[in-house]
Amino acid sequence: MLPLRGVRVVDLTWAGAGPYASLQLGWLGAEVIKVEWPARPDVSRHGFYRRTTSPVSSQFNDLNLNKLSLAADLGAGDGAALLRRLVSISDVLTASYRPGVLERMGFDYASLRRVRPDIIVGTVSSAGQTGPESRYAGFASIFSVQGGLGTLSGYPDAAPAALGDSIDLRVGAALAFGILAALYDRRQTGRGRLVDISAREVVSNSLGRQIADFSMNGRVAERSGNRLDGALVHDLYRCAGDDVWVSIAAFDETDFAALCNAIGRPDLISKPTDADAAIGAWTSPKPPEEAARLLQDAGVAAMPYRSARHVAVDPHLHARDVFVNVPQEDLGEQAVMRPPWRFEGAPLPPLAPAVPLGHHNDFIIEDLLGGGGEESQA
Amino acid sequence: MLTGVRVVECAERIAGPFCGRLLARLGAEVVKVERPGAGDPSRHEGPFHGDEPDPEGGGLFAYLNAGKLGVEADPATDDGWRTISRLLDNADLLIQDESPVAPASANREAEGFVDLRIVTFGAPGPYADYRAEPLNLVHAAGETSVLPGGGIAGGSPDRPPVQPQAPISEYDAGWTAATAAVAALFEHQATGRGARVEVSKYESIIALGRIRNVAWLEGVELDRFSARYAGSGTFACADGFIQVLPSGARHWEALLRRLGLERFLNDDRFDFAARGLGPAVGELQAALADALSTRAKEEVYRGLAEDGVPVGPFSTVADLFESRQLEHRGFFEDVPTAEGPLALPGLPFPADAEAPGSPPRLGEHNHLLEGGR
Repeated sequence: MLPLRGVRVVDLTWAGAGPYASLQLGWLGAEVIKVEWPARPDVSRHGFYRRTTSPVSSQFNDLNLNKLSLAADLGAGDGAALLRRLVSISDVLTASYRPGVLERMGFDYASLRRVRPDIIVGTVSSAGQTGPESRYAGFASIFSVQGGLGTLSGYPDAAPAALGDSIDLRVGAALAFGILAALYDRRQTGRGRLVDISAREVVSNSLGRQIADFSMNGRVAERSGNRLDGALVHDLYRCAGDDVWVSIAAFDETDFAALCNAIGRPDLISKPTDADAAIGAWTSPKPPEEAARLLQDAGVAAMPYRSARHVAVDPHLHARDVFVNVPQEDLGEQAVMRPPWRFEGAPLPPLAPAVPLGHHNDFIIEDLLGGGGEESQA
Repeated sequence: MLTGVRVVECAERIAGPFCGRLLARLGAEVVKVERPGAGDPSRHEGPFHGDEPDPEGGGLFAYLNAGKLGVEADPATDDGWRTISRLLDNADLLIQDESPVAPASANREAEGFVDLRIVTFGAPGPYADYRAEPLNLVHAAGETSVLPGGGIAGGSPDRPPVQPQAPISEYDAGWTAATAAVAALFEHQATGRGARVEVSKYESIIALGRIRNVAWLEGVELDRFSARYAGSGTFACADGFIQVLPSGARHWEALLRRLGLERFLNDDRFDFAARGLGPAVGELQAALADALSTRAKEEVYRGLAEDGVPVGPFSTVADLFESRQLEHRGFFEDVPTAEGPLALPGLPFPADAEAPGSPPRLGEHNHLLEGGR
């Protein structure tokens, strides 16, 4: 199932959000041409956390599967001319520069439309392309707190906590959706458009309940650890080992009775306020997988807590082939993650490993653009 | 953008309805099918005006279902499914989840439409039949392994990791499902071919942790005790909290000048151009904390942000309504309800969308079931 075959994307994004959007378009069959400045390649090429000397880090590989690589100095006349020619034969351009940078480069939406009238331009930024705060700097852990999620995360007696990297990818998920809708629209109307994603607003889209409560009742939601108003049990409980926990949720009396029976304490069914210590006493000698399985067998929602090391060996994810090994030239066999959707009867989409910077310059300049032009030496 | 797309939604609570909402806000016609009499459980979950339960007045229900048409039918019965099948004759997309689903006898070929199914875990696999609430999914996916960090956020081995107090796994699945749905609709638009698509909530949230997951595969462990999260950049202001993430000499100079802490600029124990600030960093952190504690977060934010320092206040929902940036973007939109207009989040990108319609009353559009649409 490659619905986007024949769709060409010029991808000027870097780091997490934008590359995750173009990764999704590539999985769906689009030809994605990732353009990087030789003097300033994508920050993730050398790893987000530990710098590698390889031209491709594991994280860059996983976020940039199936993408062709073009090295071009877009600040120079030749590089800019090359980009204009590329846009003229493309359907979508994605960018994650700070708002104002595309304008300075002469590649804002209005300018791009003059090159390709039906171009779809997808941008991600902290606050959107326009507005009084649009040019402020923003990283994931900043727009996640500014979008309202931080205040709701953490212990009530301590400072709030900020989610980082994964919030970036949520923004990329929203961009991929917006671009797909724009492609659908373009086929109906012939018109392109700007899809101008505000990262903060993506975060705030998850706060439907809290925002509605403020609008209706003026109530300002606050963090409350793992508890949730209205649930009888909603928390993490310690299991056997260091930093090992199981999450348990029981919303109504049926769930709560099932939980009490599962831990051998039917006497607590009538005393929900006394249940916490008994649940903890039951979980604490058990491995979290066993605690979760016993509770699930009784129909109770329970799962082990995991950090990345456990996710990597999760039996369910492996049964579903979520991690796939691909051979990458510099790194050897590399595990990457497959798309989070499955089209029945369709094979796994292509998962070609990421390539060194400029790997496809000849192909793009000579074959796609037919050579010629001063910029062919870029 | 999706004008002319016809959707039938047999889905409850958040993930499926949020997927339907995204399509509806872009112009798709979404018919929401609810169980007769009771309706979507989110009708009963609030919030409600004055906390008075009212299945026609829920705020979350209004957000997720604004502008949809509402009919009653039970997909788990043969009769109900026959009714839904008639709707499907003219539909492009069916959104289903694991709430009561079609009986086996209704195992029809998805030939002329896109058949999207949102599951919790999906089969095969040991968790295929597991139940999971957002609490379970967010903690199982590794998302909370960095929450809370150390310092004033209070992370310690004695306390468990904490969830974000919003059901992000549901919204993650909704975005993923909407993307997969429009991709399949794009194919359907060109070829008329239908497709069956499955989206797992668990895999949707796991997919967004890929940076952390792949980092572990190359030997980098990120958890809430990692050095990366020790000095998380979170500080208390007089009226709330703020995230301040200076990197490099220019940011530090701006930050220290704004806070009247110029004395550190000429202190040769610190090299502000370097990545680490050396053994005296604690003294600097304490001075920052002290200076920030008496200032208002919005004032600190504006000043530092104008100077180019990466900074952001921990916004409350009340702050979101005060934001001049969100106002400029027209982010909040009024959903018409029986109690009057209700301000709720709009799409995170301007889409020339029409103003949202009301959420449907239960069975409000049952007439659509008489002889199709």
